[in-house]
Amino acid sequence: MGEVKLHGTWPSAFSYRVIWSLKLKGVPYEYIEDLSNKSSLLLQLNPVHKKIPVLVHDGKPICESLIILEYIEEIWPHNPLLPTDPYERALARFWLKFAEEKCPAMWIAYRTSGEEQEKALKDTLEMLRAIEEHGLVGKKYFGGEKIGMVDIAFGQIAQWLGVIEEIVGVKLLEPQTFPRLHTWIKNFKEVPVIKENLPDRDEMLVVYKRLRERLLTSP
Amino acid sequence: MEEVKLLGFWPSPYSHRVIWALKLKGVKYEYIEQDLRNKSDLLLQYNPVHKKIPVLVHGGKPIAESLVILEYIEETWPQNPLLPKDTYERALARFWIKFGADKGPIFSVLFRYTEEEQDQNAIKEVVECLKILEEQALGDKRFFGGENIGMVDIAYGWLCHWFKATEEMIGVKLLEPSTVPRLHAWVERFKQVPIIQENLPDYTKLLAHFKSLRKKFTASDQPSNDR
Repeated sequence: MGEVKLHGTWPSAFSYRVIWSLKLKGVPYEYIEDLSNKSSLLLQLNPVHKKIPVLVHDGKPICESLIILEYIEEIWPHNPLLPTDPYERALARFWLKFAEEKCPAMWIAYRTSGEEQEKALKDTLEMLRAIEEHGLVGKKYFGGEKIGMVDIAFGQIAQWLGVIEEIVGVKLLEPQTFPRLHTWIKNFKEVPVIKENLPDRDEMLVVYKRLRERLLTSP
Repeated sequence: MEEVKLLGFWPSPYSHRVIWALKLKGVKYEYIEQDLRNKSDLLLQYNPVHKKIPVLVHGGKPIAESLVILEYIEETWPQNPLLPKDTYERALARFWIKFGADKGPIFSVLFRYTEEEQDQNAIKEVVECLKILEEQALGDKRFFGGENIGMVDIAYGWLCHWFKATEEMIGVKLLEPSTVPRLHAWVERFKQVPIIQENLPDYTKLLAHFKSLRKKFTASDQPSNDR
């Protein structure tokens, strides 16, 4: 099997999606922290978006975390992260798309203030409601009995949302209002690969607080 | 073979993606036109999360989101493949499909304003997007999919009638031979593919529909993805 390298940034939730997938499948890889955030190597590997994560397999770069996950799933099919049944796969992809479209709201809430933040907080709540009502009914994980790609995609809700809530001073995911999601978070964080590969919450708070101040004061 | 139904809306480019994929693979289906101003119980039942078309129903089981439907069609009916065989090439195809989806809002912004109101930055962003598509996604290929159309071509199918109608409505021409010659040639070539040619909405009707939609937007300032 060819060489696998992952270019990421700590504590990016998107980096972690790829880390979790590789570790769940036992794929050895070299992790390269992208320190300068726009290093010339990164610009070469991802000329269109200039963003991490980038997976490089056999010298060929793949960008966009969810596309990387689909690639990993196809190249290393053991310990599958998607169902084998095409209809169940379609349902999983529906939620992957949902995560792609709706999760950015929580980051917008983190990055902004005033009216823009109000709207983003509302959107985040709506997203959580949809997941609570339609995504987790009768299931321990989105993937069923074991975690799958959708759980990994929503991983940012399990750890990063809490940090955002604390920084902006708004609690969105109340256990009484979102009992299924609350239980899912607990179960998700207990999965060994996830437990051993979660960024430290206090360290995250420091980094994200500082970054938010910079973002809000810059022109 | 289990029954296939498609809940669609005649002016929707997303509906058309599914129609093209089904027809390219020779899959028989029943088309059910939806009235989006008065959503049917069926639609609300089949897509409770978004309440939008298209929805494909196969053997009574609904699948929503056009790009998710395309992947399902590809897996369920593998003849006339729309994605490359090679895993890396598939990742590239999915990358470009996602690129289009991510840039959607940039094109939507254009739709909502008249020529005078147009934000020059918005126009610049759209042109930049078209140039990236031409240079990096299409290159010198006949189609995004290579010699034959594939899922990426289908995903960008809205660049024909739909983008043209937007340009005409707002009075700005952006997808021109002078700005993006290869992409422009692709549009013409794509429209000539028999399945596509036979399955495009009437242009005049589409333009009229867009114009009435825009009146609604400017009246209520409410974005809508129902088209």
